[in-house]
Amino acid sequence: MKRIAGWLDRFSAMIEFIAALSLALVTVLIFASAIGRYLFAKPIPDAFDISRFLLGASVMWGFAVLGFRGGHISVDIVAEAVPGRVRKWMDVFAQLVLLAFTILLAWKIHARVAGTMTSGEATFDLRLLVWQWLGLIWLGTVAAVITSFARLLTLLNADKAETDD
Amino acid sequence: MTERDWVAAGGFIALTLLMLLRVPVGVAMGMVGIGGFAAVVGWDAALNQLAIAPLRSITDYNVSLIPMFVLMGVFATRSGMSAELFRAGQAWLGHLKGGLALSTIAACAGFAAISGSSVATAATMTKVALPEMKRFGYPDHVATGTIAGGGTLGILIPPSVVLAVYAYITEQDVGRLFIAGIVPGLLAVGMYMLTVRLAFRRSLPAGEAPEPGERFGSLRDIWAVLLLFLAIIGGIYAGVVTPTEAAAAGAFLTALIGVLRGRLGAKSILESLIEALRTSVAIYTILIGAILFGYFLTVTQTPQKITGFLTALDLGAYGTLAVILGFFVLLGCILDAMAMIILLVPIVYPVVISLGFDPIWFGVIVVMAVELGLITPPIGMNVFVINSIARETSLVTIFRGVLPFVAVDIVRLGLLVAFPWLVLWLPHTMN
Repeated sequence: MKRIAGWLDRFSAMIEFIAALSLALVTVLIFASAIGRYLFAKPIPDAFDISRFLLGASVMWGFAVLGFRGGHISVDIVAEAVPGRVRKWMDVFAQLVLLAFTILLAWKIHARVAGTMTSGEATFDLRLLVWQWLGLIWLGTVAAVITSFARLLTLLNADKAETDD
Repeated sequence: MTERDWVAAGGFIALTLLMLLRVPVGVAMGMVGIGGFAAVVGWDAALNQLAIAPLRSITDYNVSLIPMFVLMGVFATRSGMSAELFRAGQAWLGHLKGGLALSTIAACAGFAAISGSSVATAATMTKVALPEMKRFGYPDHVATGTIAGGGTLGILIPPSVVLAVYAYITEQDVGRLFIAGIVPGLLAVGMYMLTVRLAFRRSLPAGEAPEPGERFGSLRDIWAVLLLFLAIIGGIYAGVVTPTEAAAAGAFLTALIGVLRGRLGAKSILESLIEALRTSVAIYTILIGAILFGYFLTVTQTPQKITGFLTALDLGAYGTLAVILGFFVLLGCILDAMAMIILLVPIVYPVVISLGFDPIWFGVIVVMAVELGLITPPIGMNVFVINSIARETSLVTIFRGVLPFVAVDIVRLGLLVAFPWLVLWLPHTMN
């Protein structure tokens, strides 16, 4: 279990690195496009679509990281008042709901990607296929299902791991 | 009660239970939204919302200003700009009695102008100002209370992430909202400084005169903050750039300035990006949940029913507003500021608009009510943040120091409700 947890930790770190770089890229793209438009009357082609799709991918891959590492906004008032064992089961329940939500998300976004693929929708300037960008976002939801499930297993095995130690 | 009313009531109960069981707020809103929608319309239609709403919010170009402003705040924090602001405040106000506390308020305001988060402002100022105030003999409650109060400026003085979220969910112009936050923000600075001088007058140490040349020298250090604020807020005010472009420019320039001054390296830039990503994903999650929950509210006609209920109480426009704001302050004691705005604004916004209040004005007012929740016992997020850094100062001590700021916040809220033009005149001068 420890080895799997270590592997997932590295996997999350890698996802986070890529998502963070995407965020940097979006920032530079929007800034550069604004400079191009205002100073040279020449915006970067498809900067609008590329930046929003890239940000979408960055957010969804980031969602996968939060599925494993936590960090979502939640109400802790009850959790802080109950004994550790009760808190553990609260966390398991919360993770289960997160996993269910993520599975539904992955399922329905896949349907949207398939629909866009069939329609052949493309971006305005460079005619980039939209389904490929949505596919990138969908892969983020798949990663989120894996990481959320892994986190659930980690929570369920927390006691066992402590005993093993 | 109709069947839809029972579904709505069941939805709110389920949402409360899920949130209390520590389910992420956005996920709880999303699941209840889908379940409630399915109960009224059907499962197919409910699940189809999941194919539309999440993609719409995460690929919305206009929402991308939120991660950009978050990123800018993180870069500013890691570049040590808060320390320079504090030193400048000290140089200009340090000679007065309680000068360090006044400098803290001024530095909080300066930092709020480049960071859209109250918690970030409180955290960074605790590290910078608290050791100095302790060194000069400020009582713990004065020092920490001042930082907690000053920290709330982050949510109001533009750019404000919470105001940007309000703009998104109410479809208001984020530029106008930012500009509307300036006068109330400055009013807050003035009133907080007065609070320091009046409420703590017996326990404030004497000031120290600055070294010759220190005052103008300190201004040289804060050029970056002034430049960033003027470029971003000036650009939005003049209509030269869109708020999203301003946010991207702000994040990029803050990083560039940090690199050029040797404050940011590759490692700290990557860490900043990761920190901003995590915060942004948490915000996006509740935005997605809010959209799904919004569909549920629409099919159960909850906002209309709440409007009808509040109107039937016959409290008058201001009486109803007082009830709404009281509810915000109360809930602010247990809910995160962002979650509260996203959860409650879609419900009360139609009520407020039907009463004839201005949506931009209400945005500022509601953010101030949320801000009050950041320092109100028993939870008060800013107080907890300070306590997590200054472990030796008890929560009770910090809350004791915060109480005068809570009182003055209520007075300020009353002032802005009584004189809405204080909020609205500046955005009305925009192009």
